[in-house]
Amino acid sequence: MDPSQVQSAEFAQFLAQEEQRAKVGEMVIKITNVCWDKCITSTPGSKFSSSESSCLSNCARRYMDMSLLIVKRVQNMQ
Amino acid sequence: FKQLGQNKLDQPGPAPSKSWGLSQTISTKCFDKCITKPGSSMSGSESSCISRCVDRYIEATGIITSTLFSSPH
Repeated sequence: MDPSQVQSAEFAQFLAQEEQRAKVGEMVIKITNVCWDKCITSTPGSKFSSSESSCLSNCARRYMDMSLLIVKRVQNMQ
Repeated sequence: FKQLGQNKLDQPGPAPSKSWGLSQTISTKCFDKCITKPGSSMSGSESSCISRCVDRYIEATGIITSTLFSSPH
């Protein structure tokens, strides 16, 4: 492999990783947006109550479960 | 935290993009929670509510990140 081919492969991998990071970041922002509304129902305090923080955590997991279910169901329709 | 939302800044609508997009989201959420009856100026309790709200929202982002990316599947 000549040097320019190696650089292209590494650069392609770098781009793929950056794209992955961006998608992960987007997902966290989206889920926080949704779960904040579900879990933080009163005026924000100086720290989360334990029910608020477990709600946020559960919400994130359930959202991921749901996303997977939806993908599977849509795939079955095709 | 810098890694979050590296999308283009020029997309219209609620697309997340760097810290600007996140500020927009936090503004909406915290205005809803803290400014219930807009007066002729911001009260002390309103501004401390906003401060707490911003801290909590960022903390929420951290909770969700660690829930999804540090627990074994």
